[in-house]
Amino acid sequence: MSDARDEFDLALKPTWCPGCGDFGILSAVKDALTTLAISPHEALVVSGIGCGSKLPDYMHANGFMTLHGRPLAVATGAKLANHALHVIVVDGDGDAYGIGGNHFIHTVRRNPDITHIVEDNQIYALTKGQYSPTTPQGKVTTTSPEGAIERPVNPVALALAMGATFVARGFAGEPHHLSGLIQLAIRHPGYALVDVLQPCVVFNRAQSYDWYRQRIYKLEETGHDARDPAAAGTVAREWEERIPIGVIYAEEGVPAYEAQLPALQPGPLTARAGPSATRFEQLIARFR
Amino acid sequence: MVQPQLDDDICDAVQGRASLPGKAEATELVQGVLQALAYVLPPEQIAAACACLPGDLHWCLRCGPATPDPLIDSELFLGWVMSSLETTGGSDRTLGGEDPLASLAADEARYRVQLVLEELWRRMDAEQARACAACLPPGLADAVDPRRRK
Repeated sequence: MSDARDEFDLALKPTWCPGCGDFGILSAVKDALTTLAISPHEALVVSGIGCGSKLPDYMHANGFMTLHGRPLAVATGAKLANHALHVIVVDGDGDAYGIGGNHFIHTVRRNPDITHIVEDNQIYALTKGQYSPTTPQGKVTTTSPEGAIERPVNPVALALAMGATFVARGFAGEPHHLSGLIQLAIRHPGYALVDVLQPCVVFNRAQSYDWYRQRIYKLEETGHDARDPAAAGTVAREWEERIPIGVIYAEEGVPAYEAQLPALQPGPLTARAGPSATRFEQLIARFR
Repeated sequence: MVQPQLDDDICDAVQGRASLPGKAEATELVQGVLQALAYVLPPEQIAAACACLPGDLHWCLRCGPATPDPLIDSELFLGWVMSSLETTGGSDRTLGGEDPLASLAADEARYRVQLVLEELWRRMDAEQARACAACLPPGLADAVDPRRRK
Protein backbone atom coordinates (compact mmCIF):
# COMPACT_ATOMS: atom_id res chain seq x y z
CA MET A 1 0.00 0.00 0.00
CA SER A 2 1.49 3.31 -1.03
CA ASP A 3 2.01 6.09 1.48
CA ALA A 4 -0.04 8.41 -0.72
CA ARG A 5 -3.10 6.17 -0.55
CA ASP A 6 -2.89 6.31 3.22
CA GLU A 7 -4.23 9.84 2.85
CA PHE A 8 -7.66 8.29 2.26
CA ASP A 9 -7.37 5.64 4.96
CA LEU A 10 -9.28 5.65 8.22
CA ALA A 11 -8.63 3.55 11.29
CA LEU A 12 -12.25 2.40 11.11
CA LYS A 13 -12.57 -1.26 10.13
CA PRO A 14 -15.35 -1.93 7.62
CA THR A 15 -18.23 -4.04 8.87
CA TRP A 16 -18.58 -5.86 5.55
CA CYS A 17 -18.54 -9.62 5.62
CA PRO A 18 -15.06 -11.11 5.25
CA GLY A 19 -14.45 -11.85 1.59
CA CYS A 20 -16.93 -9.23 0.40
CA GLY A 21 -16.14 -7.64 -2.94
CA ASP A 22 -16.67 -4.24 -1.35
CA PHE A 23 -13.14 -4.47 0.06
CA GLY A 24 -11.73 -4.58 -3.45
CA ILE A 25 -13.92 -1.68 -4.57
CA LEU A 26 -12.86 0.47 -1.61
CA SER A 27 -9.19 -0.19 -2.37
CA ALA A 28 -9.74 0.61 -6.03
CA VAL A 29 -11.50 3.92 -5.31
CA LYS A 30 -8.75 5.07 -2.97
CA ASP A 31 -6.04 3.97 -5.38
CA ALA A 32 -7.70 5.73 -8.32
CA LEU A 33 -7.99 9.03 -6.44
CA THR A 34 -4.40 8.77 -5.28
CA THR A 35 -3.09 7.98 -8.74
CA LEU A 36 -4.93 10.99 -10.14
CA ALA A 37 -3.43 13.17 -7.38
CA ILE A 38 -6.87 14.12 -6.09
CA SER A 39 -6.81 15.11 -2.43
CA PRO A 40 -9.52 14.09 0.06
CA HIS A 41 -10.92 17.62 0.22
CA GLU A 42 -11.31 17.66 -3.57
CA ALA A 43 -13.49 14.53 -3.67
CA LEU A 44 -17.07 13.93 -2.61
CA VAL A 45 -18.32 10.35 -2.32
CA VAL A 46 -22.10 10.08 -2.29
CA SER A 47 -23.88 6.83 -1.53
CA GLY A 48 -27.35 5.45 -1.00
CA ILE A 49 -28.38 2.61 1.27
CA GLY A 50 -26.95 -0.88 1.25
CA CYS A 51 -23.80 -2.78 2.17
CA GLY A 52 -21.65 -1.01 -0.41
CA SER A 53 -23.21 2.35 0.36
CA LYS A 54 -21.33 2.30 3.64
CA LEU A 55 -18.17 2.93 1.63
CA PRO A 56 -17.94 6.70 2.33
CA ASP A 57 -17.73 5.85 6.04
CA TYR A 58 -14.49 3.98 5.44
CA MET A 59 -12.42 6.56 3.61
CA HIS A 60 -11.13 10.00 4.44
CA ALA A 61 -12.92 12.28 1.99
CA ASN A 62 -16.10 14.30 1.83
CA GLY A 63 -18.99 11.85 2.16
CA PHE A 64 -22.77 11.96 1.97
CA MET A 65 -24.97 8.93 2.62
CA THR A 66 -28.39 9.74 1.19
CA LEU A 67 -31.80 8.10 1.03
CA HIS A 68 -32.23 4.75 -0.69
CA GLY A 69 -31.96 5.21 -4.45
CA ARG A 70 -31.28 8.94 -4.28
CA PRO A 71 -27.49 9.40 -4.44
CA LEU A 72 -27.47 10.48 -8.10
CA ALA A 73 -29.94 13.27 -7.38
CA VAL A 74 -27.93 14.50 -4.41
CA ALA A 75 -24.67 14.16 -6.33
CA THR A 76 -26.07 16.21 -9.19
CA GLY A 77 -27.00 18.96 -6.76
CA ALA A 78 -23.56 18.87 -5.18
CA LYS A 79 -21.93 19.03 -8.58
CA LEU A 80 -23.99 22.07 -9.54
CA ALA A 81 -23.17 23.79 -6.26
CA ASN A 82 -19.45 23.14 -6.62
CA HIS A 83 -18.46 21.80 -10.00
CA ALA A 84 -14.80 21.92 -8.99
CA LEU A 85 -15.42 18.87 -6.81
CA HIS A 86 -14.77 15.38 -8.10
CA VAL A 87 -18.13 13.79 -7.37
CA ILE A 88 -18.30 10.02 -7.13
CA VAL A 89 -21.46 8.02 -6.48
CA VAL A 90 -21.12 4.55 -4.98
CA ASP A 91 -24.20 2.39 -4.54
CA GLY A 92 -25.46 -1.11 -5.15
CA ASP A 93 -27.50 -2.64 -7.95
CA GLY A 94 -30.71 -2.39 -5.96
CA ASP A 95 -30.10 1.24 -5.09
CA ALA A 96 -28.94 2.26 -8.58
CA TYR A 97 -31.07 0.20 -10.92
CA GLY A 98 -34.14 -0.55 -8.80
CA ILE A 99 -35.10 2.03 -6.20
CA GLY A 100 -33.04 4.70 -7.98
CA GLY A 101 -33.80 3.48 -11.49
CA ASN A 102 -35.55 6.66 -12.54
CA HIS A 103 -32.67 8.81 -11.34
CA PHE A 104 -30.26 6.50 -13.17
CA ILE A 105 -32.01 6.94 -16.50
CA HIS A 106 -32.28 10.69 -16.29
CA THR A 107 -28.80 11.26 -14.89
CA VAL A 108 -27.38 9.31 -17.81
CA ARG A 109 -29.10 11.52 -20.37
CA ARG A 110 -28.41 14.69 -18.36
CA ASN A 111 -24.68 13.88 -18.42
CA PRO A 112 -23.32 15.68 -15.35
CA ASP A 113 -19.64 15.08 -14.66
CA ILE A 114 -20.23 12.36 -12.10
CA THR A 115 -18.52 9.01 -11.73
CA HIS A 116 -21.06 6.34 -10.87
CA ILE A 117 -19.66 3.12 -9.39
CA VAL A 118 -22.31 0.44 -8.97
CA GLU A 119 -21.48 -2.48 -6.71
CA ASP A 120 -23.43 -5.09 -8.63
CA ASN A 121 -23.73 -8.22 -6.50
CA GLN A 122 -27.13 -9.09 -7.97
CA ILE A 123 -28.89 -9.20 -4.61
CA TYR A 124 -30.20 -6.93 -1.86
CA ALA A 125 -27.62 -8.07 0.67
CA LEU A 126 -27.97 -5.64 3.57
CA THR A 127 -31.62 -6.57 3.96
CA LYS A 128 -30.67 -10.26 3.85
CA GLY A 129 -31.08 -11.62 0.41
CA GLN A 130 -34.03 -10.26 -1.55
CA TYR A 131 -33.77 -10.45 -5.34
CA SER A 132 -32.68 -7.27 -7.08
CA PRO A 133 -33.03 -5.85 -10.62
CA THR A 134 -29.90 -7.71 -11.75
CA THR A 135 -30.67 -11.05 -10.08
CA PRO A 136 -30.59 -13.81 -12.71
CA GLN A 137 -33.98 -15.09 -13.81
CA GLY A 138 -34.98 -18.22 -11.92
CA LYS A 139 -32.73 -17.58 -8.94
CA VAL A 140 -34.20 -18.61 -5.62
CA THR A 141 -33.93 -15.88 -3.00
CA THR A 142 -35.81 -15.00 0.16
CA THR A 143 -38.37 -13.05 -1.88
CA SER A 144 -38.42 -15.39 -4.85
CA PRO A 145 -38.79 -18.81 -3.21
CA GLU A 146 -39.78 -20.38 -6.52
CA GLY A 147 -37.24 -18.45 -8.54
CA ALA A 148 -37.13 -14.87 -9.80
CA ILE A 149 -39.72 -14.43 -12.54
CA GLU A 150 -38.48 -11.24 -14.17
CA ARG A 151 -35.65 -11.04 -16.64
CA PRO A 152 -32.73 -9.07 -15.15
CA VAL A 153 -31.78 -5.54 -16.10
CA ASN A 154 -28.66 -5.27 -18.25
CA PRO A 155 -27.28 -2.04 -16.78
CA VAL A 156 -24.53 -1.42 -19.31
CA ALA A 157 -26.90 -1.94 -22.24
CA LEU A 158 -29.47 0.29 -20.57
CA ALA A 159 -26.89 3.05 -20.07
CA LEU A 160 -25.88 2.82 -23.72
CA ALA A 161 -29.51 3.01 -24.80
CA MET A 162 -29.95 6.18 -22.74
CA GLY A 163 -26.97 7.82 -24.42
CA ALA A 164 -24.28 7.37 -21.81
CA THR A 165 -20.93 8.80 -22.88
CA PHE A 166 -18.82 6.43 -20.76
CA VAL A 167 -19.73 2.87 -19.85
CA ALA A 168 -17.37 0.37 -18.24
CA ARG A 169 -17.58 -2.85 -16.28
CA GLY A 170 -15.08 -4.04 -13.68
CA PHE A 171 -14.62 -6.97 -11.32
CA ALA A 172 -14.18 -6.49 -7.58
CA GLY A 173 -11.79 -9.45 -7.49
CA GLU A 174 -9.31 -7.51 -9.62
CA PRO A 175 -9.10 -4.15 -7.84
CA HIS A 176 -5.99 -2.97 -9.67
CA HIS A 177 -7.74 -3.32 -13.03
CA LEU A 178 -10.83 -1.72 -11.51
CA SER A 179 -8.76 1.23 -10.30
CA GLY A 180 -7.68 1.85 -13.87
CA LEU A 181 -11.31 1.94 -15.01
CA ILE A 182 -12.27 4.32 -12.22
CA GLN A 183 -9.41 6.63 -13.18
CA LEU A 184 -10.68 6.75 -16.76
CA ALA A 185 -14.21 7.35 -15.50
CA ILE A 186 -13.13 10.24 -13.28
CA ARG A 187 -11.16 11.82 -16.10
CA HIS A 188 -14.14 11.50 -18.45
CA PRO A 189 -15.94 14.88 -18.65
CA GLY A 190 -19.49 13.67 -18.15
CA TYR A 191 -21.53 10.92 -16.55
CA ALA A 192 -19.47 7.73 -16.35
CA LEU A 193 -20.89 4.37 -15.30
CA VAL A 194 -18.62 1.69 -13.86
CA ASP A 195 -20.71 -1.40 -13.18
CA VAL A 196 -18.67 -3.61 -10.85
CA LEU A 197 -19.33 -7.33 -10.72
CA GLN A 198 -19.09 -8.15 -7.07
CA PRO A 199 -19.46 -11.52 -5.34
CA CYS A 200 -21.68 -11.58 -2.26
CA VAL A 201 -20.25 -14.41 -0.19
CA VAL A 202 -23.40 -14.73 1.92
CA PHE A 203 -26.52 -14.24 -0.16
CA ASN A 204 -25.36 -14.90 -3.71
CA ARG A 205 -23.49 -18.15 -3.62
CA ALA A 206 -23.72 -18.79 -7.36
CA GLN A 207 -21.85 -15.79 -8.74
CA SER A 208 -18.67 -16.45 -6.74
CA TYR A 209 -15.08 -15.35 -7.39
CA ASP A 210 -14.48 -18.64 -9.15
CA TRP A 211 -17.65 -18.26 -11.26
CA TYR A 212 -16.51 -14.86 -12.50
CA ARG A 213 -12.90 -15.98 -12.89
CA GLN A 214 -14.03 -18.65 -15.35
CA ARG A 215 -16.00 -16.20 -17.47
CA ILE A 216 -14.56 -12.71 -17.49
CA TYR A 217 -12.17 -11.45 -20.12
CA LYS A 218 -10.59 -8.04 -20.61
CA LEU A 219 -11.77 -5.95 -23.54
CA GLU A 220 -8.43 -4.16 -23.87
CA GLU A 221 -6.85 -7.50 -24.73
CA THR A 222 -9.24 -8.10 -27.63
CA GLY A 223 -8.78 -4.94 -29.68
CA HIS A 224 -12.28 -3.73 -28.81
CA ASP A 225 -12.86 -0.19 -30.11
CA ALA A 226 -14.68 1.63 -27.31
CA ARG A 227 -15.47 4.53 -29.65
CA ASP A 228 -17.63 2.27 -31.82
CA PRO A 229 -21.27 2.29 -30.66
CA ALA A 230 -22.11 -0.88 -32.57
CA ALA A 231 -19.20 -2.78 -31.06
CA ALA A 232 -20.15 -1.46 -27.63
CA GLY A 233 -23.71 -2.69 -28.10
CA THR A 234 -22.48 -6.14 -29.02
CA VAL A 235 -20.18 -6.60 -26.02
CA ALA A 236 -22.76 -5.04 -23.68
CA ARG A 237 -25.09 -7.93 -24.43
CA GLU A 238 -22.49 -10.61 -23.70
CA TRP A 239 -23.23 -12.54 -20.51
CA GLU A 240 -23.20 -15.98 -18.94
CA GLU A 241 -20.57 -17.85 -20.98
CA ARG A 242 -18.21 -14.92 -21.55
CA ILE A 243 -18.39 -11.66 -19.64
CA PRO A 244 -16.38 -8.66 -20.82
CA ILE A 245 -14.77 -6.23 -18.38
CA GLY A 246 -13.09 -2.97 -19.34
CA VAL A 247 -14.23 0.16 -21.14
CA ILE A 248 -17.27 -0.78 -23.20
CA TYR A 249 -17.99 2.65 -24.63
CA ALA A 250 -16.38 6.08 -24.44
CA GLU A 251 -17.61 9.06 -26.43
CA GLU A 252 -15.62 12.26 -26.55
CA GLY A 253 -16.76 15.78 -27.23
CA VAL A 254 -20.10 15.78 -25.44
CA PRO A 255 -20.18 18.67 -22.97
CA ALA A 256 -21.18 17.91 -19.41
CA TYR A 257 -24.48 19.27 -18.11
CA GLU A 258 -22.91 21.83 -15.80
CA ALA A 259 -20.62 23.07 -18.56
CA GLN A 260 -23.73 24.20 -20.46
CA LEU A 261 -25.29 26.18 -17.61
CA PRO A 262 -24.59 29.90 -18.12
CA ALA A 263 -24.99 30.59 -14.40
CA LEU A 264 -21.99 28.40 -13.61
CA GLN A 265 -19.59 29.90 -16.11
CA PRO A 266 -18.11 32.49 -13.70
CA GLY A 267 -17.08 29.66 -11.38
CA PRO A 268 -18.49 27.39 -8.68
CA LEU A 269 -21.45 28.77 -6.76
CA THR A 270 -19.77 27.89 -3.50
CA ALA A 271 -16.88 30.21 -4.31
CA ARG A 272 -19.09 33.26 -4.67
CA ALA A 273 -20.15 35.64 -1.95
CA GLY A 274 -23.64 34.94 -0.69
CA PRO A 275 -26.41 37.55 -0.70
CA SER A 276 -25.90 40.48 1.66
CA ALA A 277 -28.00 40.69 4.82
CA THR A 278 -29.94 43.59 3.30
CA ARG A 279 -30.68 41.66 0.13
CA PHE A 280 -31.68 38.65 2.18
CA GLU A 281 -34.08 40.73 4.29
CA GLN A 282 -35.60 42.18 1.13
CA LEU A 283 -36.15 38.68 -0.17
CA ILE A 284 -37.78 37.52 3.05
CA ALA A 285 -39.97 40.64 3.11
CA ARG A 286 -41.44 39.74 -0.27
CA PHE A 287 -42.91 36.57 1.19
CA ARG A 288 -44.25 38.02 4.42
CA MET B 1 -16.86 -26.12 -16.71
CA VAL B 2 -14.85 -29.29 -16.07
CA GLN B 3 -11.71 -28.77 -14.03
CA PRO B 4 -8.87 -31.28 -13.79
CA GLN B 5 -8.63 -33.52 -10.73
CA LEU B 6 -6.44 -32.26 -7.92
CA ASP B 7 -3.62 -34.14 -6.31
CA ASP B 8 -4.98 -36.57 -3.73
CA ASP B 9 -2.23 -35.94 -1.23
CA ILE B 10 -2.87 -32.30 -0.49
CA CYS B 11 -6.65 -32.69 -0.59
CA ASP B 12 -6.53 -35.70 1.70
CA ALA B 13 -4.21 -33.88 4.07
CA VAL B 14 -6.43 -30.81 4.15
CA GLN B 15 -9.56 -32.88 4.53
CA GLY B 16 -8.09 -34.64 7.55
CA ARG B 17 -6.65 -31.57 9.22
CA ALA B 18 -9.76 -29.44 8.67
CA SER B 19 -12.09 -32.31 9.61
CA LEU B 20 -14.04 -31.82 6.41
CA PRO B 21 -16.78 -34.36 5.80
CA GLY B 22 -15.94 -35.09 2.17
CA LYS B 23 -13.25 -35.03 -0.45
CA ALA B 24 -15.25 -32.65 -2.63
CA GLU B 25 -15.29 -30.01 0.09
CA ALA B 26 -11.54 -30.35 0.58
CA THR B 27 -10.95 -30.10 -3.15
CA GLU B 28 -13.05 -26.95 -3.39
CA LEU B 29 -11.12 -25.44 -0.50
CA VAL B 30 -7.72 -26.20 -1.99
CA GLN B 31 -8.82 -24.88 -5.37
CA GLY B 32 -10.08 -21.68 -3.79
CA VAL B 33 -6.88 -20.93 -1.89
CA LEU B 34 -4.64 -21.69 -4.86
CA GLN B 35 -6.73 -19.45 -7.11
CA ALA B 36 -6.52 -16.66 -4.55
CA LEU B 37 -2.75 -17.12 -4.53
CA ALA B 38 -2.73 -16.76 -8.30
CA TYR B 39 -3.82 -13.14 -7.88
CA VAL B 40 -1.13 -12.15 -5.35
CA LEU B 41 2.00 -14.12 -6.28
CA PRO B 42 4.46 -12.87 -8.91
CA PRO B 43 5.35 -15.21 -11.80
CA GLU B 44 8.54 -16.49 -10.19
CA GLN B 45 6.68 -17.54 -7.02
CA ILE B 46 3.92 -19.10 -9.11
CA ALA B 47 6.58 -21.13 -10.90
CA ALA B 48 8.17 -22.13 -7.60
CA ALA B 49 4.84 -23.25 -6.19
CA CYS B 50 3.98 -25.16 -9.34
CA ALA B 51 7.32 -26.93 -9.24
CA CYS B 52 6.38 -28.40 -5.87
CA LEU B 53 2.93 -29.54 -6.88
CA PRO B 54 1.64 -32.04 -9.42
CA GLY B 55 0.64 -30.78 -12.84
CA ASP B 56 -3.07 -31.13 -12.27
CA LEU B 57 -2.85 -28.37 -9.67
CA HIS B 58 -1.11 -25.86 -11.89
CA TRP B 59 -4.23 -24.41 -13.54
CA CYS B 60 -5.31 -23.03 -10.16
CA LEU B 61 -2.07 -21.11 -9.76
CA ARG B 62 -1.98 -19.93 -13.35
CA CYS B 63 -5.51 -18.50 -13.56
CA GLY B 64 -4.62 -15.03 -12.30
CA PRO B 65 -3.44 -11.84 -13.97
CA ALA B 66 -0.01 -11.56 -15.55
CA THR B 67 1.23 -9.51 -12.62
CA PRO B 68 0.02 -9.71 -9.01
CA ASP B 69 -2.70 -7.35 -7.94
CA PRO B 70 -1.26 -5.07 -5.25
CA LEU B 71 -4.68 -3.93 -4.07
CA ILE B 72 -5.92 -7.33 -2.87
CA ASP B 73 -6.11 -7.31 0.91
CA SER B 74 -6.57 -10.13 3.40
CA GLU B 75 -10.36 -9.70 3.41
CA LEU B 76 -10.69 -9.97 -0.36
CA PHE B 77 -8.34 -12.98 -0.35
CA LEU B 78 -10.77 -14.77 1.96
CA GLY B 79 -13.55 -14.35 -0.59
CA TRP B 80 -12.27 -17.33 -2.54
CA VAL B 81 -12.85 -19.52 0.52
CA MET B 82 -15.92 -17.87 1.99
CA SER B 83 -18.03 -18.98 -0.94
CA SER B 84 -17.43 -22.59 0.06
CA LEU B 85 -18.43 -22.06 3.69
CA GLU B 86 -21.84 -22.01 5.30
CA THR B 87 -22.52 -18.32 5.87
CA THR B 88 -26.22 -18.30 6.68
CA GLY B 89 -28.23 -20.04 9.31
CA GLY B 90 -31.90 -20.79 9.28
CA SER B 91 -34.57 -18.36 8.24
CA ASP B 92 -34.89 -15.41 10.59
CA ARG B 93 -38.65 -15.21 11.12
CA THR B 94 -38.54 -11.95 13.01
CA LEU B 95 -37.04 -9.83 10.25
CA GLY B 96 -37.43 -11.96 7.14
CA GLY B 97 -34.59 -13.34 5.11
CA GLU B 98 -31.83 -15.59 6.23
CA ASP B 99 -29.65 -15.12 9.24
CA PRO B 100 -26.11 -14.18 8.23
CA LEU B 101 -23.30 -15.98 10.01
CA ALA B 102 -20.50 -14.50 7.93
CA SER B 103 -18.60 -12.93 10.81
CA LEU B 104 -18.43 -16.30 12.54
CA ALA B 105 -17.52 -18.04 9.30
CA ALA B 106 -14.53 -15.74 8.84
CA ASP B 107 -12.61 -17.40 11.66
CA GLU B 108 -13.21 -20.76 10.03
CA ALA B 109 -12.19 -19.36 6.65
CA ARG B 110 -8.91 -18.02 8.02
CA TYR B 111 -8.24 -21.33 9.72
CA ARG B 112 -8.86 -23.27 6.51
CA VAL B 113 -6.67 -20.91 4.48
CA GLN B 114 -3.92 -21.42 7.01
CA LEU B 115 -4.20 -25.20 6.72
CA VAL B 116 -3.97 -25.17 2.94
CA LEU B 117 -0.99 -22.82 2.97
CA GLU B 118 0.77 -24.89 5.60
CA GLU B 119 0.33 -27.94 3.40
CA LEU B 120 1.70 -25.94 0.48
CA TRP B 121 4.69 -24.72 2.49
CA ARG B 122 5.43 -28.32 3.45
CA ARG B 123 5.90 -29.13 -0.20
CA MET B 124 8.29 -26.26 -0.79
CA ASP B 125 11.74 -25.60 0.57
CA ALA B 126 11.86 -23.11 3.42
CA GLU B 127 13.25 -20.23 1.37
CA GLN B 128 10.60 -20.57 -1.31
CA ALA B 129 7.88 -20.81 1.31
CA ARG B 130 9.09 -17.63 2.98
CA ALA B 131 9.23 -15.85 -0.37
CA CYS B 132 5.64 -16.85 -1.14
CA ALA B 133 4.42 -15.90 2.31
CA ALA B 134 6.03 -12.49 1.93
CA CYS B 135 3.74 -11.85 -1.04
CA LEU B 136 0.55 -12.50 0.92
CA PRO B 137 -1.64 -9.52 1.79
CA PRO B 138 -0.83 -7.85 5.11
CA GLY B 139 -2.79 -9.37 7.95
CA LEU B 140 -3.08 -12.71 6.23
CA ALA B 141 0.67 -13.14 6.12
CA ASP B 142 0.91 -12.94 9.90
CA ALA B 143 -1.61 -15.72 10.29
CA VAL B 144 0.16 -18.11 7.96
CA ASP B 145 3.81 -17.59 8.81
CA PRO B 146 5.74 -20.52 7.25
CA ARG B 147 7.97 -20.64 10.31
CA ARG B 148 4.97 -22.11 12.10
CA ARG B 149 4.54 -24.92 9.59
CA LYS B 150 4.26 -28.43 10.95
